[in-house]
Amino acid sequence: MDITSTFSHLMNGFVSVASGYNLLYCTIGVVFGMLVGVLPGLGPTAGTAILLPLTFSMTPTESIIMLAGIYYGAMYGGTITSVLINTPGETASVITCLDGYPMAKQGRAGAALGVAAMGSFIGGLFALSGLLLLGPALSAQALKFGPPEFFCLILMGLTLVISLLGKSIIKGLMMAIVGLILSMIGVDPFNGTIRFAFGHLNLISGIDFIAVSMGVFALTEIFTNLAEDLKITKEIPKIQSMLPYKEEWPIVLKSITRGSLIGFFMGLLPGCGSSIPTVVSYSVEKKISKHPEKFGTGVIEGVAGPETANNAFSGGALIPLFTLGIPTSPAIAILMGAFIMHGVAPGPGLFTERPEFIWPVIASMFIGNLILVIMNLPLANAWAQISKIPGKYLFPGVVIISILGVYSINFNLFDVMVMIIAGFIAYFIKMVGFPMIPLVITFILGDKLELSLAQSMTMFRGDLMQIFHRPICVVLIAIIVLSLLIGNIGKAKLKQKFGGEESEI
Amino acid sequence: MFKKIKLNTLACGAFVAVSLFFFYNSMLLKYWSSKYAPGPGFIPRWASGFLILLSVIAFIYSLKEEGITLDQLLPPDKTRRVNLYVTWGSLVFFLLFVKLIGFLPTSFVMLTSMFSRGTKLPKAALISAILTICCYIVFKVVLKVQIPTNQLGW
Repeated sequence: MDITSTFSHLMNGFVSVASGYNLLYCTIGVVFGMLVGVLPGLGPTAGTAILLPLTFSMTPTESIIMLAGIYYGAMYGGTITSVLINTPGETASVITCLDGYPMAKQGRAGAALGVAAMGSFIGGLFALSGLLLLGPALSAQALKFGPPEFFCLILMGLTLVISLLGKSIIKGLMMAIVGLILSMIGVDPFNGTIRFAFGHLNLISGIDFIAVSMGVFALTEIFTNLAEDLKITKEIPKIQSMLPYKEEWPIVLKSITRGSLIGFFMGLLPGCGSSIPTVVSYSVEKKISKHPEKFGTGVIEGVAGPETANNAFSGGALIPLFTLGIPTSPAIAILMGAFIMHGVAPGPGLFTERPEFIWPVIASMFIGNLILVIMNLPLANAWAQISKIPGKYLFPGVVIISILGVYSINFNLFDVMVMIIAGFIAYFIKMVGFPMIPLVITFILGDKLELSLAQSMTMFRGDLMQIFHRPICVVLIAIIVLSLLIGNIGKAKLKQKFGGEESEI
Repeated sequence: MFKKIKLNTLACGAFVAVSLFFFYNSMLLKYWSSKYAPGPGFIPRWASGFLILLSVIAFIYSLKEEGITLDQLLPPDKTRRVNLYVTWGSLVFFLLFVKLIGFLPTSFVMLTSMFSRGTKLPKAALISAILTICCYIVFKVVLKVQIPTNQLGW
């Protein structure tokens, strides 16, 4: 697909967004995303999971536009509480606390938020431009993938996630296999046989992905928060000028450029997680700076770089989903669940077979980013007040909405029971380092993995060793082996250098 | 003695049990469906077998490592512990009684018990009533979700 046709499709996408309810849902999505980002205790994953069931009655385009809006909107919202009350609204904003909060204490909260908003906007636009250029091109290449390549690709995505996230590769693998086993409950996609239903009608149709993901992400976080002291007593500093000083502009613009590149390219990596690009960006800014000793005391590039990387990451992370059908993070996994729920298969065929779906979604992201920067700049104070809502009022409300959301999938209390059981179990096993992301990713991809393996075996007439005769498969298998072998060493060094484990909300 | 058992050990033990259960059930399924095509038991057998192996390794490691014990599972502060008990209890209450007595009363009781952990009972009841009615209107009336109701229709 050349640039002209890409541009033409994008223009059609803008026309489509401007029609119908698309623009309304985009606005609802980004506003809800901001809300989720502002409120500590709820992240983009939980927020997307909570709203997902409510999108059943929407068209696929409207649904994805809204859910994607939540995803990148949360990245904007998390900054506000990081700067104003030293409490990150979501994990990607943790780094922003280091220099953002000191800036607020110096009376420069407005400049910190303004630079973060500008950087987020530019980073988001950069990532979307990358999506425009790389997306169709990658899709065209991915059409060369057959069942063996898809099998290896899914395994590669999974092993990268397991290797980079969580404390233990063994526990990550265990959770991945549990997710795979859960996905096998119900009807075998290749043979049509019913498996592991044990005579229960509810299990014949399988366990619902939304119920499990809401349980392990949203409900677990609610339990964790309800077990804490939720009184927020901090005062919100006053916000004055939203712009940096004149002499800071060159520094800010360079930080934003670097942040865009770091965030975008790291977004392409499965398992990278949204906090890693922010940590890398902060480290780069500190290393490059003429005054590294001032980092942590309120330097503007300590906010500009990471916040830009954050939003560029969220755009970059959509590329593997749209082009290859591989979710690279929990929130993207939920988004993929939404695709499947609405009968749209993310992957190589998306740009060629469903252009009427994907281009409005991409166009809506440009508009969504614009809406967000418009909301952030003059309304930062208003958003900050929302973060003062005590958890004791917020979380019971989230519980009832989650219950109703899950119930509305199949109008079956069984799904609510699954959500509660999943949340209960996840609450305890998370304490001992069992990550939930591999479970959710294999749960979503389980059918595809099994189908591609079965098709490959049929193609190769039972001789799976023929997979090594396919160059793409060889490369992917090499990445799998490398990521598992050196995953432990690399992860230990990365964590030592760059910081703690990724949160899954 | 039970309280001094590590959570990690218990969890890994549970994984061993679950994987053995699924492995046994996968042996009841066909391994091959035709000469070259895998049957419904092919991947379950390999997956659960691999899970048994990993679970046993993790179980052995858990015996050597330090970790949270069962008596450290819940927050030490009584108020926070009760918050959790009330939350779990009210969720179970909702599941058990929603079809019997309907969405409105069950949600009201569930939310009142959860809100009462942070505020006085009359205020908790008022907030619960408002929230329950709002959810009922949004989901049943606006979104047309068939939420469970009692004989009286609510």
